[in-house]
Amino acid sequence: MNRPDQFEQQLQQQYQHDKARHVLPAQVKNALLKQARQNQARQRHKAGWLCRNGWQGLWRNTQLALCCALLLLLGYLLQPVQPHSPLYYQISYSQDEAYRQVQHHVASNIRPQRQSNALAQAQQQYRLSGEQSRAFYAQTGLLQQQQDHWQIKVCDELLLTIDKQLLRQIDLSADITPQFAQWVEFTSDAAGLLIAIKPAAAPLHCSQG
Amino acid sequence: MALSFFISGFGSKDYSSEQLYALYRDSADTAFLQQLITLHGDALYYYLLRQSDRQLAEDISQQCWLKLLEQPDGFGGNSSFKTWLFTVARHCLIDELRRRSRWLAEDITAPLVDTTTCPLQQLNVQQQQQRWAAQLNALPFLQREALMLQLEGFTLAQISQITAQGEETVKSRLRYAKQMLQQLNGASNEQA
Repeated sequence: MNRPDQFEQQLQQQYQHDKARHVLPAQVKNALLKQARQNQARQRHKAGWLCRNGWQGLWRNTQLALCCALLLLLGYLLQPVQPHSPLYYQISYSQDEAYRQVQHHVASNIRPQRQSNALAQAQQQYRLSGEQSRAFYAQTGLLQQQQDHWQIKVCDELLLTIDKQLLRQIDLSADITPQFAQWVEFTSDAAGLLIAIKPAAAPLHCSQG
Repeated sequence: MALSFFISGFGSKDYSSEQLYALYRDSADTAFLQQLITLHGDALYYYLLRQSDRQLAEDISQQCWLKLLEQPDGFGGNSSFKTWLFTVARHCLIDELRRRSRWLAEDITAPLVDTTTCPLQQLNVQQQQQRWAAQLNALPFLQREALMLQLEGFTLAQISQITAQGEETVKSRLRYAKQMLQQLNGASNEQA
C-alpha cells in the first residue's frame, strides 16, 4: 500500500474512532423524541376530533356558515332594490260654507287614481282655463299655522290647507314665520300645484259681501 | 397497536432513510423518527461538534430535528435524506455562528499557510486535547468541513450540494486540508 492510501486509511480510522467517542447526547435524543410524541398526540387528537364529530359534522357546520354568508349577501343585494316610495302631490277638495272653495294640498305616497279624481281634475282644468295665458300665477292670502298643517285663506274665496310633508317640497321663503298669522304671496303653476310661498308686499283687502 | 409497533420495528431494517422519512411524515409515528435519529443523529452531531463546540452542536442538532418535526414536508426528495439533513444543519450552524459573530469567511484560494508556525503553535496550546481533534481544529472551517463530509461518506457531488460550492472548489478544499493534515502529522510525529 502506498503512502497516500495509508494516509487516507489513517484519516478514516481516526475519523471513525473520534466519531464513535462523540455521539449525540442521550438527553438531546430524549428531548426530541418527547417533542415528537407530543406532536403525535396532537395529531391524533385532531384526527380524533374529526372521528368524533365526523366529516358530516364538519360539512354541516360549513353549510351553516355558507347559508349565513348567503343570507347576508342577499340582504345586502336586496337593500337598494327595496322600492323607494315616491311622494305624489295631491290636491283634494271639500266643502265649507265659509269659503267658495277649499283645497287640501298634501304629499302622499298613494299614487293618485285618475278615474276617481276625474271630477276634481275636470274642475281643476276648468278653474285654470282662465289662467292659461300665464304658466304661474300668484295670489295673496293670510297664512296661519295649525296643529298638523298650514292654511292660507284668501278672503272667503279660497281656503287652502298644506300638510307638513308637502311643505318640505315647496320653496319657502326664509321670512315666513308661521307661528304668527302672516300675509303671504303663494305661487301656483298651471296645474294648481303650489310652487312657492313668500311674504306679501301688502295685505289683501277683501271686499265685503 | 403493540402489534403494529412490532411490525414497524421488525421491518425497519429494510427501510431507507427516505422511506423512513416518508413514513414518519405520513404517520407522525415517532418510531420512524427514532430510527432516523439512530441512523444519522450521531454523524450529524459529530460534524457539528467538530465545526463548533459541544453546546452549539447540541443546539443545532436539536434545531435540525425539530425542523423536521415542525415542517415534515421540508425534505423535497431532490437529494438523499442525509444530504438534505446536513445541508439544513450547515445553514443553521452558519446562521448561528454569524449571529454570535464567530463566522469569518475564509478565502479558499488563499495559499497554504506555513504550518511550521501558526498551526504548530495551535497544536502546542491544545496539547491536552486529542491529536486528531487538534489537527482538525487547525484546519480552516471550510477545509475542515469538506474533509469531515468526505470522511462521513458523502461524494464530491453531495459535498458540493451541501456546501453550495462547485466540485472544483470542494476538491481544492480537500486537497489543502489533506496537505495540511499530512504536514501536521509529520510535525507532531517529529515532536513525539
